[in-house]
Amino acid sequence: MRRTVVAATATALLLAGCASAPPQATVTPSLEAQASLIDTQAAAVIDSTFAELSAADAAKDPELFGSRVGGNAALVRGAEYTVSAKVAEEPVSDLPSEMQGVYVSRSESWPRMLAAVSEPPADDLTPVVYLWVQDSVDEPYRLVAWAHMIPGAVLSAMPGEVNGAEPLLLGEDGVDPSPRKALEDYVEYLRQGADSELSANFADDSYAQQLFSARAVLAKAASATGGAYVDTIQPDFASTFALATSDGGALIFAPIDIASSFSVKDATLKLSAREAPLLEGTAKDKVTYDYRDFVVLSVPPPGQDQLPGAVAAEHHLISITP
Amino acid sequence: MTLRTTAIIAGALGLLMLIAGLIAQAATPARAVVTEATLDTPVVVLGPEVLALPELQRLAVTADGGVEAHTARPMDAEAWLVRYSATYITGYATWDEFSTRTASRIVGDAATPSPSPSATAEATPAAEASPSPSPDATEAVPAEESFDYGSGDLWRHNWAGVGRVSIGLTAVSPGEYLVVNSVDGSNLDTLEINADRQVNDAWISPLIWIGIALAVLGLLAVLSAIIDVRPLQERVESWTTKRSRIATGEDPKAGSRRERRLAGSSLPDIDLDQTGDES
Repeated sequence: MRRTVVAATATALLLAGCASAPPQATVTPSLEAQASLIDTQAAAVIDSTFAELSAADAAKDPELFGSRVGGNAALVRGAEYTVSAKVAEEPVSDLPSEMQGVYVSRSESWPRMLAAVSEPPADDLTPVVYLWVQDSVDEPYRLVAWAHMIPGAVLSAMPGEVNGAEPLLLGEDGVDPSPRKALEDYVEYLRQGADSELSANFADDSYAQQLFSARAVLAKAASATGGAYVDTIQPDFASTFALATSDGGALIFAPIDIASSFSVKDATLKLSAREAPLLEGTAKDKVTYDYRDFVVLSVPPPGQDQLPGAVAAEHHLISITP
Repeated sequence: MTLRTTAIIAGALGLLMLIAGLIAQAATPARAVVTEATLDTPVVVLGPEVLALPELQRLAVTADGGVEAHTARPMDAEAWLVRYSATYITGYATWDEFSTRTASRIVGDAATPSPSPSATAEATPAAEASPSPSPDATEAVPAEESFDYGSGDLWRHNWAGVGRVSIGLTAVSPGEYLVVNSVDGSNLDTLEINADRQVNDAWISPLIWIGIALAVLGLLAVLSAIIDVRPLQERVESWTTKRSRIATGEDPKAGSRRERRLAGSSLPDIDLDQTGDES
């Protein structure tokens, strides 16, 4: 019996020496691609967005917007469908699906964003900057805004999928001015007009100039009839995102709501053919134009002799109310 | 202790070494090992620390219906997993068993949310109304029916199969989670992982060969103790003597080297008065 035990023990020891112990999972390797989306993911989001957009464009039906188009983008495109259905000379804007740059963040929380810059839609048109937002892990990235680049503006280089761009808090003090301060000042500049002292804080941009010139013309027309023209401009900080650029600056993706009221005295307003389809009700002596604008502000890195300014912006009319 | 005794002891040791080597060779475990686990959740998860184990080669998950596998950033996968019951593979307990932990979630009906505990309990059957893993339910539910797992935008890479999905784990980038789920929300069946384990068997062949050599040596020693070799020794000695002609007294052959050796020095005679040429 003792011999059997000894033999069994010896055999067990031999066998134990043959196979190594199972490995222990102790080391967590670092992530190779830190960005919240790698190239293939971003391409899938972009492709499915434009597939959905194409289907809706073909039918000119905003009800076909599903999981990929939402927010202000759906409102703006829906308004374009309404106008183009009534006015043959007003086609929906050309939104290229070919991208020359994709900006991804390495955000670890929600909401998070994806931005892309298209190829120029035509020789006389600048590229379009798109913004997608994912509200939670269960929600898809939705296209929520777009705007054409300001002629002559340059978008800063951004980190790729390996690192992803650092998402910045609006109060981030690593850039000067902070994203919140830059947006607040820019909105205040838009409110005050070209004569604002804040105009010296921003590079010239065609978006602000067109806004100011339209305001001057409409204000003059309204006052000539005893009426008034008032722009009410509000930033949407909750839907504003900021990303650090590769050179230490920041890009701010900001939706801006503008309500422009136009009133006359002792007269009835008549809207243009392009505006009439967007009128909700009957225009009398006052109408309010509702815009969902999208502005991309660039804040240069500290120490550079550059001014912050808009690099992309678009004035999107979505409705007119009496 | 004589040389023979020493050889016999070495032979005995060699025999033991030979037997041990042969047993070890027969019982050596295979390098390729398949570890299997039965799953009772609709989702199974492997973290980056498990996927980093170099021994792991391939993973396969089976289910009654469709199966999908995805990779994701850790923070994204963890945020997604909060909503679902999942089995987390945390490593190996033994080569035949995984160490696991299970996170059970109660997924309420999103249409009737309520903060009260009782309402949550009532919502549970609604979650269970999703396709059941029982065979009867599987037959009743079309394979195409899918459970709403929400957006798939977080997944970096995707695989899909019907009944089984198999993934080469080298395709998973370091640092990412691997999440496998059933398409219809029912429980998965099994998880298999193929691994190449380290087998320390390099010592077995030398052990066998040294054992054979020592056993042969011991065998010879034993044989020499058993068999009477004196007649053979005598024959050898007589043959050796016969070959030695000195012992027989025969005269050497004329002109042979032996004759010259027996005759004395073979140095040439030289006249000491003879001189060389003097000019």
